[in-house]
Amino acid sequence: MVSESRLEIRGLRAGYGTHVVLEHVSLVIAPGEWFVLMGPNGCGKSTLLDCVAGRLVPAAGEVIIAGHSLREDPLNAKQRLGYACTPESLPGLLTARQCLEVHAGAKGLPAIGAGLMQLADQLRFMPYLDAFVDTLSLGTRQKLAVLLCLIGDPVLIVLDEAFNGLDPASALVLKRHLRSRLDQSGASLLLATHALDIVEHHADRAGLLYEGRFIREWPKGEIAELRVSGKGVEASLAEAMAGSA
Amino acid sequence: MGMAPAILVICHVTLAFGAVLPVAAFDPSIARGALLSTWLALMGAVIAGALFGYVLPAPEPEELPPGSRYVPHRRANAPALPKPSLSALGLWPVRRMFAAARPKYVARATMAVLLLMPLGTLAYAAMVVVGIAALGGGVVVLIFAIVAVSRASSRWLQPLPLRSAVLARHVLIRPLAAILGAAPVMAWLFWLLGAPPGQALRRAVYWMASAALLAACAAGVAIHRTNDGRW
Repeated sequence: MVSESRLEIRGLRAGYGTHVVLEHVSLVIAPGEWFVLMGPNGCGKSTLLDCVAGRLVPAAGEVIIAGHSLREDPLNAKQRLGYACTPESLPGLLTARQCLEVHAGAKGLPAIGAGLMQLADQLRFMPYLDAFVDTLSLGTRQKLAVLLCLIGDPVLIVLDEAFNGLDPASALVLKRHLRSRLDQSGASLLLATHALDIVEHHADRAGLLYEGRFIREWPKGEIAELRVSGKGVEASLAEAMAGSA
Repeated sequence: MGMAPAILVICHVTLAFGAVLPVAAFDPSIARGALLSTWLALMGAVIAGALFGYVLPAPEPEELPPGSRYVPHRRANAPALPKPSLSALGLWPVRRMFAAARPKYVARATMAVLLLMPLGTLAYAAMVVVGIAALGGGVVVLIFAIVAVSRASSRWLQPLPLRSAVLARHVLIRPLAAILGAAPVMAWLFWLLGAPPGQALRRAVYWMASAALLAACAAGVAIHRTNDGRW
């Protein structure tokens, strides 16, 4: 199946046991697009990302990554996916170097790209390469999770609150790196976050997930308008949630 | 679906024994009773391993110092750039075993073994018994570690294009080699305790092979269940 979109979600329905978290969720992310997923706690953001990463099998609907169905062709779909797990789910008894080696090995790469190690250097991560993960701080683990996600130059990057715990300088380095990666390679980014400054300054599009459904979307032009007018995304977000409630 | 690896192993082992049966039928020197009891023992280990994978509870989060403090680790001469490899997955269960064997727990376990010995036991015998208990305990902890790491690694690497069978192979090779490698040491300890050399070796190999088989089956079930039945 050939598709131009980096991610296509059709009619997704997912949950845990009998509890339905997501219902009728559809989303298309184009090449080079930075999409921010917003929503209150417990609205299903992480569940949606778990479905995209293949960590949760949806009850209905389909997830297609760069033209490959996650259900029918999982190996090819996952080859094109980069998913940053939460820092606490990294293996504490492996070193950062070993985590990188395992991820690169699992993707079948002949070597880890010099660009990735350059990013590690810019994030001031290199001194921690041979440290056990369970001795690293939250921010350093977060950097490792992002580096693992970017191994193999994935065309779809999925990040869940990836800027949590990062110092401002590292966060800026990462934002710039992601922007240039999207612009140069045509990769797309799906980022779940509560940080509205990222929406206003970096996102191409944003969506609000509320009680398991998309209730509002902000295209790039509207985000820029909100920023210039001084109203900001925050007020617009509050309006959308009030309207839905 | 979760029992598929165990059923696969049962089929393979049964086929292997089935292939030997015609030879045993014509060769009076082969004891058919011993053959049957070996087959039954192996089947028992496979089924126990599969059940073990089901009943082992998920580890609870605990507020303890980082486990890596108790893990032996060589830092010297690391290459400048990481090289893609899955071999670290095999180190993970062994490290988890070391992390679980914290000094406090080892001291308590050793104390319990010593207290169970009757008064008048010779120091020599006591040391051998402690050695057997330490080795056996280490293998038991390693089996638990293998199952826990199978689950954790499977969950961690789920978003990656890695087949479960490849994951299982890399997680299992080193720890299973460690378990089987413990057999000569166990045989030596049995011999020190007074068993004839042949019998000591047979017993040690039997116990360690059963432990390895149990660990492999339990790990297979754990990975299989985490991946919703996909290999």
